[in-house]
Amino acid sequence: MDWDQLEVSPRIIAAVKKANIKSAGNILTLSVPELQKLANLSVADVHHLQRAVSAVLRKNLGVTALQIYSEKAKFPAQHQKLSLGCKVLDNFLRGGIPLVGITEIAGESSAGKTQIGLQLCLCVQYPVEYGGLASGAVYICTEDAFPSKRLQQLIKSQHKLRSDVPTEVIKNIRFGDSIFVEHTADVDTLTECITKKVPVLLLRGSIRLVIIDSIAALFRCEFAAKDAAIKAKHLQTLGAKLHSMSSRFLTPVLCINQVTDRVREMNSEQIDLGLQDKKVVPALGISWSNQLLMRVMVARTQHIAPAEHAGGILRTMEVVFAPHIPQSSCYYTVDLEGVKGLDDYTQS
Amino acid sequence: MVILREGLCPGLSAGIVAVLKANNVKTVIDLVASDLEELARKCSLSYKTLMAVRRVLLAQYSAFPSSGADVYEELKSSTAILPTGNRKLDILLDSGLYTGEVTEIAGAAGSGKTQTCQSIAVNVAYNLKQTVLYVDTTGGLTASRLLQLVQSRTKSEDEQVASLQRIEVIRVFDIYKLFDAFQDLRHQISQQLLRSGEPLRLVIVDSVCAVIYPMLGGKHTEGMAIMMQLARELQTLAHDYHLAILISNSITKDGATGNRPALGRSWSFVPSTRILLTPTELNCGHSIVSLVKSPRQPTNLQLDMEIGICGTLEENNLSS
Amino acid sequence: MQRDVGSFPLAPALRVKLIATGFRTVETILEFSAVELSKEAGISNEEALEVLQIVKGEAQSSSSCQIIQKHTAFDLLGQEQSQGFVITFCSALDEILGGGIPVAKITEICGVPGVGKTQLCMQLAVDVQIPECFGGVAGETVFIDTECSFRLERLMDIANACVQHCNLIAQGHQDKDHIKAMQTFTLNEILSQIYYFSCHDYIELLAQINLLPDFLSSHPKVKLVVIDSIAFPFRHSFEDLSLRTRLLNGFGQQLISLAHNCNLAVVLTNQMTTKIGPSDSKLVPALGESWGHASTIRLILHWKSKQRFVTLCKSPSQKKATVPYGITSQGFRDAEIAEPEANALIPASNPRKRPRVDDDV
Repeated sequence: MDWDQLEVSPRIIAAVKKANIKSAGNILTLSVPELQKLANLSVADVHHLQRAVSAVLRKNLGVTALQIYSEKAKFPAQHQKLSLGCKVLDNFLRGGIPLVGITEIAGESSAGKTQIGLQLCLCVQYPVEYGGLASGAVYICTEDAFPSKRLQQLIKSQHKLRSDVPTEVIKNIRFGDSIFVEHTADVDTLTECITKKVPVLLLRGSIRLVIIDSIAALFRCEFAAKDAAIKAKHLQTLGAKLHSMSSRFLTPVLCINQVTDRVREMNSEQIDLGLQDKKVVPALGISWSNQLLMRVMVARTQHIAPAEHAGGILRTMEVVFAPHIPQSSCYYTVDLEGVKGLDDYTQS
Repeated sequence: MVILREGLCPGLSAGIVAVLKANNVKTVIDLVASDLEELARKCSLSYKTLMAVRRVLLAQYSAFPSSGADVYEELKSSTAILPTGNRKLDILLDSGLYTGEVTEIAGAAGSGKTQTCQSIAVNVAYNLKQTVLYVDTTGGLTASRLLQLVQSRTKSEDEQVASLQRIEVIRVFDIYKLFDAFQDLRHQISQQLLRSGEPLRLVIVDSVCAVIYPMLGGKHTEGMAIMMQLARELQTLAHDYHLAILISNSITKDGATGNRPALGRSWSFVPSTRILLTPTELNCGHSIVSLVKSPRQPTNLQLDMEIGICGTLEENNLSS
Repeated sequence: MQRDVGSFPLAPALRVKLIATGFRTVETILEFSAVELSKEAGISNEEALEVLQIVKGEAQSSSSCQIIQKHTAFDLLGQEQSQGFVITFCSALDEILGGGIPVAKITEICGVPGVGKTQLCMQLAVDVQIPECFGGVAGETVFIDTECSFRLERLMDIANACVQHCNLIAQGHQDKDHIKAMQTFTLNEILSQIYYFSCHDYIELLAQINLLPDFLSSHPKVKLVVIDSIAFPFRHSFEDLSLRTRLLNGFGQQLISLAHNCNLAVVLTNQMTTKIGPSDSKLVPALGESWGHASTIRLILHWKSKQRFVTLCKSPSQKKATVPYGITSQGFRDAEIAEPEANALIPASNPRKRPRVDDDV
């Protein structure tokens, strides 16, 4: 860093230069006696120096919540959300997926997790006024092959699903061209992918959505039960990387997660996440849960949706936690056109 | 170590000091320790003058030997044992906190260190009617809690107020301020400025690790120097002014032996008595107190102590 | 009256030189003038002046020149009683805390994800602004967000509910003070008194805290500093755990000194982690053993079947206790069993129904 820009006396700057301290972060992380020794400064000088460095390192001055509220354009993360392409589900989630933070969708197989992921890949490409972010998506598969056939099907029926959008708008979007598919088979490739490839796409502006399907598969097979601590560390690092990427580019990160039987997990860790009434809990334990902004669980029911909702199996979507939504659930179905919420439907 | 300068003693003129300095004799110790004949030759000063100067300096600065019996007598008159207000704790500490010594309470977060410190402070202020200096470095001291503790001792409001007024609180959050506070304390004691007529007997520092931890780290040496400075300060204060000093410390987990008081080996020489608090899992509000180090008692003593509404003070006294 | 040179915040090289020359104690130094000192110890004139300044306690640094204040416990009692609390809107929690979140202390809120840590923080950010005539402390809030979990829409829910609540009181009592206070206690006013800072890593957080004293001196009304969460930036990217321990400890000391000097409440949130013991594993607050000392009060939020509970597990004046609480559409509240009128909106007993239907209609 350029020490000369610091607002301290030239004597202190000279001392810092002489001490050969490389980064500004070091000034804050070294202990006071260490800095004293390195730069040969008195304690008061060290405090001055740390304050001056802090002023440079601080990225943002504070804003009041009122400013965030009134200056909508300046704080998109608080005002904009990524729509799910369905009015009912959007209402249920208070507008959709938040732009910053990791959102998790957990559920057993065939509960409809991937369907929601695919639909989001399309929704993100709509212009902002239709709930999208006018950009593409990257879809990272870790288990199964990418369901391209289903994607084509969804693209074809977009005009039916999105009756709120003028047809010429839909026609003008080339959905298939902006979805980048990645296959990763282990944690290292995934890390490589999200630290190297994805940021390039983000910088170019070609994508504004990252989906990982599924996060659990990688960690399940690679780590034995006794490596719990290492696994936790990897999950924390991965979570932190995804999080910083998300906040830097205002890009939602959606992680699809599997579920495990609660009974089996209980033996290893007695964690009560308020899911006592569930037979299954999201995989990967608390160290992953700590990384999330919002957790949604999806499940299939035994029932068939009423005919006016085009039949199909009735599924539930439940917000387990989110800073802005109370614990609540709603029904949805998956049909040829995509994922649709059921308005005001209570099972009789 | 005193620097030689003019007027330090008769006969030590500016000229002599300058000549001595030129020959690398700068302090009293340098002068006393040097071979005077050789020095006289080197500096071309008179041997007699140098001898005279040395005699005066020796009289002024050398330690005064005293016999063991005298020391014992003095100790008997100056040492006081301050009971803690808890019978079990007193057993462990061989009847209480000794003046002239540093006693340490170590324990994990929430194990009751601050409760113990506050209870002892109240006991000394109320039962012994003595002044207590409480140095709070963590913001853990709560006056309303002290009031609660005093209320468990007496119902008379006047006595409650008087007891609380005997507890003086200093809040410092970094180590240099702590040194300043100690300096103030010295100043006060030497000028007898303490508010009540009773001399100060108990100083509580809760906790020491809070101010030391931010200093340690990296290549350690610098932070260690400051830690040892604090250690010396505590010991000299305790010794010079016949104070009982009670400090609290956190613990570090040790794979082999379980919990140990924190701050490492070099700190372990500072307190002469150390006790360790371990909360019991089964019995809420109880802690196991164990004696880790003591100059008088066999260690490994363990007792179960209740830390409840009355802190570590014993209940009931009110009825009497 | 002798004080060692080593106990002064001098630059190390200066200290070494002074001691080597024979200046062991302050008294010897004070007998010299700056010029003499520089000659004796072989240091520059400037350095000698600096030494004398520091030793005489005239150091110019604003942080270290405050005189150490000594109070009797009796004086402190008076101070404490006048300081007041930030109420949580959960009467059971307020009760076990002895009135609410205390001012001039650090309160740490730990809990598993989704149990309501951020909700409580946002609730407190609003509650601290309640006018004095309603029993509040009428302060402002600094909200430092490290997880990006601050959601404006939720804050507005809580603020609106709080304004409504106070309005009801004002209408019920028809008190002149109340009605006057309500004129300025509005949603916009509440939002304008919450200063929001976001930090993305621990360096930024450290920088922000270093500068907080300056911010607070220009905003003297701030009565609450929230950091949500302390764990997130400190739980990754640390290879050297002893560095983390030291930084966290220093951080804790900075915060308590802020809380004390500026007379404000500091609220931190922390994550939970599994600690694998010899026989079983249990959930404990993250960031390690020594961090446990940093906070004066520690609350753990947890679930027991479908009910949320808060446990006070560390407090200097209150005993350990566990009480239930609830999170409703209005914010952090008492558990519904205790407050039957609140459950009109949230039938939590039946999660299959959509509770928000009532809101939307």
